[in-house]
Amino acid sequence: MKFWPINSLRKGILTTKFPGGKNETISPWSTLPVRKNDSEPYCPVNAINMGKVSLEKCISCGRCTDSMEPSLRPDNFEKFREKPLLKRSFKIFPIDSGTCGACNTELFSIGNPYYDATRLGIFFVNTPKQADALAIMGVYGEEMEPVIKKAMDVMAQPAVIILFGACALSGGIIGRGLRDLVDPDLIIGGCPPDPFVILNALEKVRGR
Amino acid sequence: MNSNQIITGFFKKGNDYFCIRDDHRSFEPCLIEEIKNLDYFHALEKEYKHNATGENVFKFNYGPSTGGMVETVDFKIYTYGERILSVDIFPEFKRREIKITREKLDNALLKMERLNGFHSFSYSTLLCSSLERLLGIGIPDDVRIKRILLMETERIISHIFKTARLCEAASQNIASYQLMALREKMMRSVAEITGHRYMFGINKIGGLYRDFESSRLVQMAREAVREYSQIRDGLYFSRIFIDRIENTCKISVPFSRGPTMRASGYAYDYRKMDPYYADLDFSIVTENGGDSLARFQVFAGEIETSLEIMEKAIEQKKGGDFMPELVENEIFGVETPSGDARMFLEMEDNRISNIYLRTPSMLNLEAFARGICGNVKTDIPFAYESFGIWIGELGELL
Repeated sequence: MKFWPINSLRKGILTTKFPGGKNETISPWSTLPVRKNDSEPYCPVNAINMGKVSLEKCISCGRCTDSMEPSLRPDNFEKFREKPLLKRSFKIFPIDSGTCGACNTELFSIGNPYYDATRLGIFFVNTPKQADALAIMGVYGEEMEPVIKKAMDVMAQPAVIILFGACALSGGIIGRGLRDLVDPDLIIGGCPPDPFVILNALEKVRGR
Repeated sequence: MNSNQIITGFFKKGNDYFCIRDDHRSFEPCLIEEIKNLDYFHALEKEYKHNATGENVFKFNYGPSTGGMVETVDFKIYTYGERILSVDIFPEFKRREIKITREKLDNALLKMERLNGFHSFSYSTLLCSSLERLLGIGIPDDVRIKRILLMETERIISHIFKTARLCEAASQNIASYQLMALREKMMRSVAEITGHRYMFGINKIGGLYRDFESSRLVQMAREAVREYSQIRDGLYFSRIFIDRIENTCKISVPFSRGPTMRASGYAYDYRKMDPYYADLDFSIVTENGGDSLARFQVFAGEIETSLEIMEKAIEQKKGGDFMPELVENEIFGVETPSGDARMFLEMEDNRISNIYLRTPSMLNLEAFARGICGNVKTDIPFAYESFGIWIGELGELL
């Protein structure tokens, strides 16, 4: 079957050089908005205070467009602790606590040929037992609380706990967040976070 | 085949029950006994239990949080070895309660977008168009065309994603990566054109928050469909792929929705009833196999149909306002990429006072549970992917 190798060669190399090079693109409104004029911004989730946008609350809706514009920067995350022991290999187990599906598919996007997270030593695993990091996304759900706690219990140390997306961080516009349930090492904002932001954040929490 | 105008949803208003039927634009009064007699009644209540007993039968647990699935869902598989006798499905691990009633309409719209982020534009269009008609708001015809273009783009992206997941589960990794790359290329273009990869924040009651250039979207779709067709042809030549998905999770039930239903020979597509598509002639893609192969063929056919609709829509430049007639007791609807969603909506003081939404995944999850019986456990991932089920859609709208 010659079709597949020929078709693959024809497409050439798609993979980004990021984080070594600049990100080629970014989903504009998934990045944090910045001021473009002095008018009072409107935000349906009160994410803007004194002109500063909370990465935990912003739901990337763009309703503030009259006074704000997307920053287009892939730095919509905050690192609380660094785990340099995980520099070489980093295995992630995603947990969906109550998402709309967008965070799930954006996280898996880093595995597609445009990002190819495996070149950076980042892999997805099928059980938390083998994982170095838990990426928890979605709003709080009572049924998922024991599942999340059990997953954290079975992980080997050092482990990274990631809260992923506006819903997990603050509940977004849908419900309650997960900040009072877990103590994260890394938070990634956006609704949903852009794959370049995800890659950038994962690299930084490993001290790379 | 005709779906016999079957009941696909019901709701209570006061002390009375009302049902939704295929091919009907209005809801009708009905007796609760009639609904309870439906053999898929529990699916309309979002319960999927099919207990099986027998010698050496045991329950095998898969989920709720496992690497093989995109979303959280728990399967209890009844088996005595490899063969699946029956399956219970528990979607409630991630059941969200989303408050829509009494909310500001714009906030209700933001919440609706996040019912299913993957099909967000279809759901936001459903809410916008329903509210516009209830409030008597006309939209410029250009907005109608742009909404169609975005909904069809969403369908193409969704079908590419489902095909990629199907390929991955059937060990066609090169095809899967090429399809994922194609989807990423489309997502990047959508972000560039509309400002958001998942089309969040674009729809507005009475119009669009962010305008865009229609011709760029259609050009992007043309290129994507051309590339998809090459990969599809490559897959048709792969005996391994075809053998793996043929006869897997075969199902033929008129209550299933969207591509799943059309892959069983039922020619029902809500777009034929949707006033948005009234002047856009297209053929409904159907297959008769009812298996994962037939569903893949329907995805492939519908990707081409979507492009055809986009090409026709962009040629329509009527001008003026679009304001379809509101029929009595109207049940609103939209054909999402996974099938038709139907919605009952009531308003009071310019806020939503009552809402009922029947999503395609409610019924497709039941179709999957029935179809997977008799298959083996390793068939679960690609059978499931071929149904286009999104557990997020099973959330409660309050």
